[in-house]
Amino acid sequence: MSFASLHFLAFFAIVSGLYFALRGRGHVSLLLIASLYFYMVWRPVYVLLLLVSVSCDYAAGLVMARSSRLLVRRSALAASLGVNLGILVAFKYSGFFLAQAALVFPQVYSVYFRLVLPLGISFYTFQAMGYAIDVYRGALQAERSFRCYALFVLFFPQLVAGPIERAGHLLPQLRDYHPFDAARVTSGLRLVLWGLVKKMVVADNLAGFVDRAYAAPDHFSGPSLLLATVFFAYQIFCDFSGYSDIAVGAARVLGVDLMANFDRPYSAASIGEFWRRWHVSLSTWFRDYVYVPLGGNRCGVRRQYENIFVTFCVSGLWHGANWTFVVWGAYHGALVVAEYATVAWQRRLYAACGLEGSDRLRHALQVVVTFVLVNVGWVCFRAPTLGAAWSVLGGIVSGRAGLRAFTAPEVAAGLALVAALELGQSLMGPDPREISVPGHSVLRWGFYLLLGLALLNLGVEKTVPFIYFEF
Amino acid sequence: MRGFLARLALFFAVLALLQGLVGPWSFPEVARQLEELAALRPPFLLLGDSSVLRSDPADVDRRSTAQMLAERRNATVGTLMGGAQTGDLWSYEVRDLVRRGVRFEVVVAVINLRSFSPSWDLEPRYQFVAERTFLGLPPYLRPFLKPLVVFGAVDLQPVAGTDFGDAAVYDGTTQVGRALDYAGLTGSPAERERSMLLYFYMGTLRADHRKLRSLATLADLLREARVRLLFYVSPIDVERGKAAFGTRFRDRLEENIGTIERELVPRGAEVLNLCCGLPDSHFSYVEYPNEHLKAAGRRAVADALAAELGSP
Repeated sequence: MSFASLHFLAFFAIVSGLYFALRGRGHVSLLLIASLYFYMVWRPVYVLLLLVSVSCDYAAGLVMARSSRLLVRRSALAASLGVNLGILVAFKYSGFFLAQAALVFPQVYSVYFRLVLPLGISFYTFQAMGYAIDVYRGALQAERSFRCYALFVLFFPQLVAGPIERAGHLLPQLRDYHPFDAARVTSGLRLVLWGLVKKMVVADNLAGFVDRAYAAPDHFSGPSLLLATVFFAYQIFCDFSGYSDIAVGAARVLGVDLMANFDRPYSAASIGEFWRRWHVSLSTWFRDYVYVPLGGNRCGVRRQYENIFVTFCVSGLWHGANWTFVVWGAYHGALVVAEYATVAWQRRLYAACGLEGSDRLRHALQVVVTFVLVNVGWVCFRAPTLGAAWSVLGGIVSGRAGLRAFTAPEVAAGLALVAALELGQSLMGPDPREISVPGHSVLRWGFYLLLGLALLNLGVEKTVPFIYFEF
Repeated sequence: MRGFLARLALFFAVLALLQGLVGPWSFPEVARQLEELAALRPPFLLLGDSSVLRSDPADVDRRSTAQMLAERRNATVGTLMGGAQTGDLWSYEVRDLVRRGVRFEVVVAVINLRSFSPSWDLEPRYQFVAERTFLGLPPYLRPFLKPLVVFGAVDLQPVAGTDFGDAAVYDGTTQVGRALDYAGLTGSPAERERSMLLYFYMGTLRADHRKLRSLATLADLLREARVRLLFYVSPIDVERGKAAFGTRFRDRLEENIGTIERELVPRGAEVLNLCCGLPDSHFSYVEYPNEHLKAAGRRAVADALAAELGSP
């Protein structure tokens, strides 16, 4: 079920109404049934896969909790990770790996069969693996209630595209009933509204530009490709952060606090900072469960850089079974390593340019440079193949004239969407999870009514799936 | 909780009120056209497709057939025209205008014989579902169509691409292929042209064809409203048709026009047959013959319509 549908809005209204009407009687069961329904609207049979993952991880958690023998605990952890990674590899990466193998052994491709990618597979498997690892490390008590654990994985607001929550944060909240609190519910609904506007008004309209240019990059002029890439930066931000806002807002209505996934990433002054602001739940997951176990920064500098690079490459592959994502991850890994490795050199450069004492100017310059570097990465992320990415970058750098270009009204409309987004964000407070417009209540109502009207009238007339649903 | 629910209800009520004010103008475009026509209240209305609108790149006189007719009648001619529009949309539009109390003296509507072929009838882009859904709603619900579409509650894609591709193509009553077969034709230019003429015009028109039924609905509607309705069959390049199929081409056209007349004339409509009167030099197209006309062709049609309508 897509958040951007009447179906979801009706579903959410009914579930919320029942949740508060039952006053804590069977609230876990209610949310679990609702979550199962939410997932089964897509393809009912794939819920079985989800339940296999849930059952294995639940059992593995109990085994680890009851045994003090290292071998047993390790076996249980291996079983849990094996099931989740197995599901992930089978459904998401088998085609990719077999296609690579077929380059060497052509007969391999004959066994290739394409499976429909289960919705949210990359998110719920990672959340489940995080739970198993935390229990193994002793950082978390294993959950005794199957219903509570199942709800932890299946909780509908964050089931299909995160945020990837930690069990220690989410599980205790799900066990408890949260009585109605008008301020909290209002705050959650505001966030849902803002998320819907970002997705359906900004992202879906910008998608039209991006799809056209990236479908035939050789035919488009350099300036149009540049514009399409910048629009994609805003499209993917609004698409994914819009989803996260809806997820966080919907959970907040039910009294559950989900972590912030985005914090104005395009105001980052370095790539490292960008990753502390972009898809935070995934970044911290990779930090805690990949980078740190690899040695993190507790080893030599060279090894630390290798760990960073490997972590980013794996993160790239997480996004999709395509070399474009691997290169995108490697690109960001290389940039972060380069940032760390050239700190002294950067200081000397700023001093040579006379920017050492000018913090604001230097910061502004850093934000612009970071935005440009991030956009270069988005080319690789968005292009269907590395060849197409190269074509887009070549077109932008050469500034060539093309057969096709966006018209002036189209450009104005696209830029107006971006400007409206930035204006909307500037009106709000510093907390990315809190949509609160300062000022008189009439102004606030006016702002939310304006958002409502934009949502009802400026959305596109076809369903545009959330980008991260594909991951 | 009551206070919260009251505030929420108030918010949605104000939002609905505002949507009622801005909604009809935002979607679809036909809403604006109908508003303008209702305000203008012209004595004549021309319902047309691209054959009425389009001009040839070499034309000095680029006016539409409607503008030429207006000059000949010395009167305002209101128009509801657009590429691929036919009776299935016009019947909704005219019903809406009649409901608003707009009383035309004469309505002129083009009948394009190609519109009965699957190339047009089932082409997903030519279904005008948004417009028809909009006009089919009670006025107080119309402002909410766009939100319903955006939130996926109304599907505007009635004919899937695969259904279109699988549509049967007939020569007379014999199936000779599927629409998909005509998407990427190969062979000599003459062979391709012959195939496209067959695809466009050579099927036998059945009385229950949905496009013909919609024209009948339009005729019924205007008869009840006591408005004179003049259909005209748009000119076709019969010289090219004859070169490809011999006299069989014209015979099939006449046969189909006979079916149209049998359905529409008893309903009080007039049918002016302009199908076969223009030479090849009056047509304007790049690859395959169709009904787009050069200025001389549009003038000839406007003259014929003016003559049929009588003195102003």
